[in-house]
Amino acid sequence: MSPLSYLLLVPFTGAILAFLVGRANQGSSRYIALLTSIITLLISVFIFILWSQDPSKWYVAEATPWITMEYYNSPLVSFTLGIDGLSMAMVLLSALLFVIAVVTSFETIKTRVPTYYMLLLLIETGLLGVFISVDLFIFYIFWEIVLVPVFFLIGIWGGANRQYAALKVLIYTHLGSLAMFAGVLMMVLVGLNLDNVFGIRAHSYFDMNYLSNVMQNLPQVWQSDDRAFQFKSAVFILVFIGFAFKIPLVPFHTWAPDAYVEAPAPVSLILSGLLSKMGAYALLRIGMNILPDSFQAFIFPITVLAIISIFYTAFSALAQKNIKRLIAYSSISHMGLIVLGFATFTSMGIKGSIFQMISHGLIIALLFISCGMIIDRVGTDKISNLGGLITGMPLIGWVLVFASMASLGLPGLSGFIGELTILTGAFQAHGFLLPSIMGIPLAFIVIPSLAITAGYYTWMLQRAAFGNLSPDVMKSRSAVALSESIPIVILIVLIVYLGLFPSSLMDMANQTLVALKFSIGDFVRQFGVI
Amino acid sequence: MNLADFAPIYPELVLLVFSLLVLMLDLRIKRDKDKSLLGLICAFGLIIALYLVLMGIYGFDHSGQTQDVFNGLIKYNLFALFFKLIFLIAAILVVIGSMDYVRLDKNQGEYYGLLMFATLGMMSIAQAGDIILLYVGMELASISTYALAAFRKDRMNSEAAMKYFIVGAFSSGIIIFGISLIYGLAGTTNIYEMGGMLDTTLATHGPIGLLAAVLLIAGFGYKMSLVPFHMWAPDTYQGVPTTVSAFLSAGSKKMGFAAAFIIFLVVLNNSIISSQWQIMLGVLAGATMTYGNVVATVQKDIKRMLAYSSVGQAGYILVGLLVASAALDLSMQSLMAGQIPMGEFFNTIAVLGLGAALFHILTHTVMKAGAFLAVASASSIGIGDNIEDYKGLRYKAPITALAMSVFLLSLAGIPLFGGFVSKFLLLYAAIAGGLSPGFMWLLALGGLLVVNSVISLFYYGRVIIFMYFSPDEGGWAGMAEPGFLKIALIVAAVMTIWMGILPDIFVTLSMDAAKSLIIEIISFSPF
Repeated sequence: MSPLSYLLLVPFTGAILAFLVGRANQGSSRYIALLTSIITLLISVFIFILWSQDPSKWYVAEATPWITMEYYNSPLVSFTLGIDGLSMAMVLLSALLFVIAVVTSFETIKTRVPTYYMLLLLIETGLLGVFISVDLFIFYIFWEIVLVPVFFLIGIWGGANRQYAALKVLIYTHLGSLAMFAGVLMMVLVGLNLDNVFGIRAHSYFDMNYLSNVMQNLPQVWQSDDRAFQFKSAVFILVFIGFAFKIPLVPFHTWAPDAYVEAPAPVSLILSGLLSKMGAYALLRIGMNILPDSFQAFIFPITVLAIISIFYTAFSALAQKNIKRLIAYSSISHMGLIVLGFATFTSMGIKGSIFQMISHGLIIALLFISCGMIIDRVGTDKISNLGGLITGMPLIGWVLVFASMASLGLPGLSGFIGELTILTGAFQAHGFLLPSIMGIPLAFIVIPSLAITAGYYTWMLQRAAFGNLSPDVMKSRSAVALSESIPIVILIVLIVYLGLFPSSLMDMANQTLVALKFSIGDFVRQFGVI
Repeated sequence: MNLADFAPIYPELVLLVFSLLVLMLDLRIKRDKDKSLLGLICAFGLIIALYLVLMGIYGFDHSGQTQDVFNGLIKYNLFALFFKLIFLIAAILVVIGSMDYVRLDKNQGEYYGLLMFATLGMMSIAQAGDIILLYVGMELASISTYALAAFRKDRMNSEAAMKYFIVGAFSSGIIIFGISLIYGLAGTTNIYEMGGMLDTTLATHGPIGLLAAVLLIAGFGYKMSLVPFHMWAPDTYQGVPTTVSAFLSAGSKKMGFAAAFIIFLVVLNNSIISSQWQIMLGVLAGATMTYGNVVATVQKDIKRMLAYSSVGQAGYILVGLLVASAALDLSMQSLMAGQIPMGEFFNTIAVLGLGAALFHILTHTVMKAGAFLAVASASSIGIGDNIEDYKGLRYKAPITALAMSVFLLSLAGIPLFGGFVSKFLLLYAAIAGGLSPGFMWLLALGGLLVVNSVISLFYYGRVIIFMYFSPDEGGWAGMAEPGFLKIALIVAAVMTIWMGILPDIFVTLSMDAAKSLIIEIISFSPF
């Protein structure tokens, strides 16, 4: 067993233990959960150290056949785990955010505690599984299995409208996932038994690397460029629908605001900070690694979709009266920017998006934590009733201000670096790949969205943080428990650190590009058959 | 003829002996309360039969050979054994559950006896090499279940049983009409020889063959509860005792599939008429899964909801049958044109399609039996059959609620449960068949399967919401969950998860079973 399997085994065991021990002693389950998430973080750091010594050899760490078929040379499905720069970054982020989510839950979750921590750790298992699986079938299993605990977490511990939100999440994202799965199946069926023809080793027929090879060589196999292109386009549309639901992009986003708002704060943090990243991760992993030429062919619609998504949700955020809903829309808006970065197809834009994925995860976590603390104390989520947070509860108020500033892209904080790099990439791509509308470069159109973002955040702060002290805020307690302050400090330190020293993460993003067979500096990816 | 010649039907003989034993012991036990003992004996007999079937499966290798028994009356191969396994699993789960559910009823001896006779009838269908055996087995199973369905004799039960009986008898009539036409064309009752005979006679008598195909589709459509022949299913499943619903849905319906697989793939898969009935059956499959799932979303009674979901699942299984039949057609064409490798390739797709259908039948048997038994468990502690009544079930019956969630999530096709793997294989087979020339419509069926899977998540999810997301309404003063039902639920839930986490052994078994039937068909073809 490679260290990667411990990434799955430890949180899973922790989940079972937290439930079983928690039944005897309610309080102990939270410490088991904390211990488990910290051990998982340590393991992921350990893997990071091992991995950084020789990044190339980690791509496939272990493979065990899972479903075999008689007529096939290789197993149909095998349990294959591996890691590269992108996975590594996402694994570290997930492991960190789960420690934070567990600590945050100490104060917020008071009922059915053991079950809660079990479900939370099960999500961790699923998420880490998504980020380290190489076999697309296993990938899909983890992708879907995450949904079940999310469904229960929202449904049991959510707000007033929780049943509706839980069912909506389940059905919407399941629909997207199935579309993605159908696309993957089409690729697999085409790739069956071609490993003999090419002389490539397939760990299984769902192996990402193998499928990437098959898709590249499809024109030769079918001796028809057109047919191969049509097929790949059909596959790409199917899988893209799956990613768009998860990311979420407008018009596939309607489940997300409901879910983010109804879920308890730690779960909203996981949903927006990590679950949406699953979509972005898969877009990079499947969209760009396996189907790069179809991705290129669809750049225009994807860019338009991303821009619509950015603006639509930014304007929606502007209109919100509920602070949590505002943050939810802001989160979706930022995810649109990440998709735009991928669609530039420049190394700059993609690196920026990867950076933004991490940075957005940290910032949105801070936003949801501070907002959750405020809602818990004041008892309302109406912005109009929250006036004077700065005077009423200074510490939490300033955290909210800091998080909003980070999210709107204040220079010196990590959000700025990500947005800047993405936009630079978008300008680079103009004229080469990114088309224009009526002579205006698409990249140019995005710029005003930053102003809208600044607008809704500052307006919200003006009303909530700096407004007149409202009676609701005056009544509430302002003290902050230790378990609440630790995650906030960690997040602030990381956001500032990445804002001042972005190169540490950018190097990792570079590694990702290498893994994705990009040559740095190249404008457009050149195919090379291995 | 010595005793060893009977080895293939040992499981049936064991069932026969035990069912007679149960009927006789019934006369000796006076009080109804003590008659759970009969259930134990019945379960014991079924488990011995299961052991014999498993030993039989163990005796076969992957080559898919078939053994002719009694001059071809019985085809002893993995296909037959696989279905025997399914029927026995269904019967065992139902019998274990019944020991609690019918504990206080009258006529328990007959109940268990009939249950075993029905199982015996079903088991003889899957191995039928002769159409008479197939029909007799089907009637044995049907008539036993007619009586079982009327077990409780209250008003609703009687109406449901009456409906089931009339529709069942009517469909048997239609089937025998279709069979007689086929017999007239082929001049033999041996199923496998019929196929070859039809090749020659259908050239001149195509329309009669088609008429027979239509009659058989209608007749088996009733048994498999395909839309528009499904009307009886919701009423019957709702009205009859819940354990019997479980048996009808998990066992009796699968008998319809076993017979349909044999009839459609072996007898009717003839290039002259197959393309026509394939389209018919394809339309029915699409209509069945869509109608079943859409109508299930608005049901208020949980047994009706499960019944409609069962209708929908029948549509999924048909997809596998259609892929197999389409691929067999293509394989025959290729073999006729002398393209041996191409023919072998299509054979693998036929195996894939049939194997996927078989695996889905297996998972569906376990899940559906489990789901109905969970309803039985809930109702035996006094919880009503409305979905609303399941509010807060986790506080009242934690094991039932947990097991029910497992079955529902599995039925919806969520990973790590058996239903996911089998649905995946069906979708995979549908796309594999759809990429073959001339069968693009299989892709549409695959798409419908995906869409329906999402629809189904809605109504399954709703039950889980009622069970888990409602607040505790205060202490539950009712009974605890009954013990035997709990055992049955745990066994079924563990099997569902097992088939989802380590599916390889089950997939291999289903594929081998499918292969043995396909090889047998090929070996009787003229090429």
